Amino acid sequence: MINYIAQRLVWIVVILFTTLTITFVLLKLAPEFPPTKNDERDTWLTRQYNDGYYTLEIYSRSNPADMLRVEEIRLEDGVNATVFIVNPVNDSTVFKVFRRVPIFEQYLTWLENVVTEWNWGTSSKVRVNAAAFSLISDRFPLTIRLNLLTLLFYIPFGFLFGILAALNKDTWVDNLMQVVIILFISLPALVFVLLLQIVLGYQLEWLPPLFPIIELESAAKVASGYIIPVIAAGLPAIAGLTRLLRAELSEVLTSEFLQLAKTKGLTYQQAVVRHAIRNSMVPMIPIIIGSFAGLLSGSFILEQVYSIPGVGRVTLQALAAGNYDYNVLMVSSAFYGVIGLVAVLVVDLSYGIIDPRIRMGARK
Amino acid sequence: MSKQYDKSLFSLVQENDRLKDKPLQTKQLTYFQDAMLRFTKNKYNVIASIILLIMILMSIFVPILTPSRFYETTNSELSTLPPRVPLLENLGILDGSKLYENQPVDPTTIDPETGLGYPTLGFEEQYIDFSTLENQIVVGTDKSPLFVGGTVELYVNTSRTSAAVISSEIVSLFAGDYVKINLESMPAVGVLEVYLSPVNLTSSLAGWDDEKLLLLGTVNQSGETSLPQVDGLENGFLVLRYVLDAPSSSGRDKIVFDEVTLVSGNTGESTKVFTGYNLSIFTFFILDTVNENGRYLRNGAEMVIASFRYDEYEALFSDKPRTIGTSEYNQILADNPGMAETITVDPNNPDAWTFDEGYPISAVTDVDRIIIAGREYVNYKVALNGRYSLGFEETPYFIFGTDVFGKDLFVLIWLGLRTSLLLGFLATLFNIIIGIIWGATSAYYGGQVDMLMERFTDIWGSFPSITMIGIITVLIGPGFLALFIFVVYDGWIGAAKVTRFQFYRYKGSEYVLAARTLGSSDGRIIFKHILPNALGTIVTRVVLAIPSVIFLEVNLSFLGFGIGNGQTLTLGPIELTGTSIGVILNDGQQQIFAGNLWLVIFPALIVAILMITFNMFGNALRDALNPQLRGSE
Repeated sequence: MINYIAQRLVWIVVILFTTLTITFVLLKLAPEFPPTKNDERDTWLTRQYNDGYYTLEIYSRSNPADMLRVEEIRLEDGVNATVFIVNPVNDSTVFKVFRRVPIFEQYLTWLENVVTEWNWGTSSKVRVNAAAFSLISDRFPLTIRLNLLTLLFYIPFGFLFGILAALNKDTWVDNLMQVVIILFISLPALVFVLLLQIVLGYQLEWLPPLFPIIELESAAKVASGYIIPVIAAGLPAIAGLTRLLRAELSEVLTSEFLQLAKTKGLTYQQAVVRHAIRNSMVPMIPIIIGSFAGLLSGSFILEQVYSIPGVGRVTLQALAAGNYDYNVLMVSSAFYGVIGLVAVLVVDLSYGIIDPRIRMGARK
Repeated sequence: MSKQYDKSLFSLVQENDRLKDKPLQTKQLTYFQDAMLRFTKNKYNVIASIILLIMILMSIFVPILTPSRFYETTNSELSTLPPRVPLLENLGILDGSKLYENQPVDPTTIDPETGLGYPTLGFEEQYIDFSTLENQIVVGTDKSPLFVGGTVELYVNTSRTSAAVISSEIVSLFAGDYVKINLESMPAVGVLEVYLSPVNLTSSLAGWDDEKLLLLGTVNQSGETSLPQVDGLENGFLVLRYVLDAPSSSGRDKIVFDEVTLVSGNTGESTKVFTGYNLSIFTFFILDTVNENGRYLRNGAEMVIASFRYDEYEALFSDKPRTIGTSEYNQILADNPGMAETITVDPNNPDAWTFDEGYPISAVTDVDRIIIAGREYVNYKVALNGRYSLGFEETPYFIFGTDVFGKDLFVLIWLGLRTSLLLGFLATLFNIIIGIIWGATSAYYGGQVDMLMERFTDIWGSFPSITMIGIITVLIGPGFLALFIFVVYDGWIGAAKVTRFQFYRYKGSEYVLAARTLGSSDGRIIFKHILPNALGTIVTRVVLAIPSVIFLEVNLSFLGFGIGNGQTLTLGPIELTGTSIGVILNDGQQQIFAGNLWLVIFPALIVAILMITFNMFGNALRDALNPQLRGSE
């Protein structure tokens, strides 16, 4: 088992490394999109030069030969894609020409920067010249908080409804729940959040129609801003958990060991609480862990529609057409990669721990 | 085969026994007939499947049967028409009227009896449903002409000594005229100085003691104060200046103006009143940027707003005043034989006549004759039918309304659904083929092969989808191809996982062992023995995956990574437009604030129904194909 975990951990590192490498190389095949304003562009490119992704040539404004050379460079291939000319900034009298170094070299430098200094570069578009890593890590608590709240909201209800449905199987309670479940599972979160926004936000005006700006609004107002996204993400999750638990519990309820428990002299209630419910909950654990990762990486839509300034929204901003912010994209790729991989590992491990009959990776 | 046995040693066991078995009377059912029976058993699922089928057919035929001008051309006049449904409109719902809220009322329309007024800008009186008209008063600080009354406050900022504002128009004071100032409040410190300035450019004045400025008077008390009369005719801009003795410490010292009136000395009547809006639009007049600065705010102004239902269809399609030229007029007469004969000329006005009903023009109200270079040109002022000018025979029913571009939302939704469904089916087909091959190979060989193939899918699948979307968007740009890649690049992993799991389940079975003992090849065992057993689960899993593919497409298009409004793709005989439910929802979301909610609600409902029926169909299929799995997942 320890062997298996160690193997998997090594693999996580390898996979993450491979993923990020591929992402880096593919993104760098496309043209660069530095900040648009000249002085910001100067700062950003100089930073990139200091980090080792660009080479710098300096041409003096007062030297006619230099100016001629700058004009020549302007006509070269790759201007504004991999070669950038920065006009004199403020009191400076020099034109700076930045050229991107070959991808492989960039990659090695990038690796060195990340591993030795934890330097993920600076943002070029989302928040110009801010550290890309802090841009994501600043938003991270909000996204995590939102998803934890969703988790706290949906697990108790999911368990409650699942148990109710299974214990009342094939009665009107169960039938009604089946209808509601299929409705909520089928309703896409996008549709759901839009409808909630219209009804609760715009029509009834009970809740803010968009996520309140944290710096400006009171704590109560901000807290009320969580309600719509938590409901929108939580209700489909409740429906999913209810359905699974109902299926699992109704199977356990007909199993031999429950009959044995009753034969031993336990009442129906004792048998259900001590044996059936406990046993049926065990397989839910991996599913809940998996759902957390799913919620986290699926919160783009919610964050976009409800304008929540979370990780997903920043990532989408970094992906705005023609305004790509590669450094921010790299950080968010790493972020989502780590979350996905760790979740898969934990889910796999929990399968094995819970049910020893399943041995992942066994030979034929 | 080395040892030979004598055949006489053996005899058949039942050779001489009489068989008591009866031949089977009932017809034997094949696997699929059996599945079909189970499928039709659940009525709800059958209904859901029928609805799904209808939706698929609608998505194919509605766009084919509708003239393309309803969904291809942009028509700004038809923009955001609310839904109008036959029959339902008689019940007062979906009748083509739209609820307008917070519309500023034109004060001249306020009815003295009811006290209700309505807006005139952009609305016509006869199409307002007066039974739904409600008025409300809002208090605001906007410097807008729609707000009336209220006071205007002039502050001096912290550590400054004075602030001044100047009128935007020139006022004239004749000999004997004077200015009357009505103040709501006046602080204990400081004084209000009233000037007349010949210029409103600060640069042409040396300072407040410049001789061009005429000091009309000062005020240091609240209430009404009349300033001294002027000696002779004076023209200029009115300047109001609040002066403190010492720099303001709090920045909260303010004069509250009610009214500034110019009064004629002869008659005692006011010739010009500055109050409310026209007082609030005075602009700052700073001569010394170091010591002067302030704030000039409006307060307590009121605006009447109305909410009402407005009949959009009638307003758009009824007669409208237009001016048309001779050729157009004659063309209309020529296009409608018999129209010219119905002319009834107004006995009082030879230049006005009416037509009978049912023609594009109901009346001519005036005729303009212009003679240029000896030729006469005639322009007719007519009441032109709205249906005619928009090219409709009858007032149309847009049962889902129209979108911002004036396109029929009903057709757009089916058009979008067609794109989504086709993409969903294609992607699913691709996923299932790749997934089965991959999963079967991985699980069957197990061990090192499985480990390697699993790690590959781990790497492949752990590509965060948003990163993949980013890479594809950056490298090939948004479009159909990009969308297809997004959907399939990791979509097959799901199918592969199911297949792998099913194979792990069956590969240890006795029949596989038996087949291997008999020397079957790996390929034969995989495709002939294990796959058929696992196929039911795999197929249902994949059918259940179609809605999620469609859903992914909707999400991606909503976020703008998919297809855009303008794109088309030709696949053989089918031409797909770039419209998809996601694009429609995205366009619609921007209309929520404007109150055009149907643009979100209808597409959302259609997607929801599609998802529900697809899931129910998938569940029914699973129950039918794998009865042992009923109720799980």
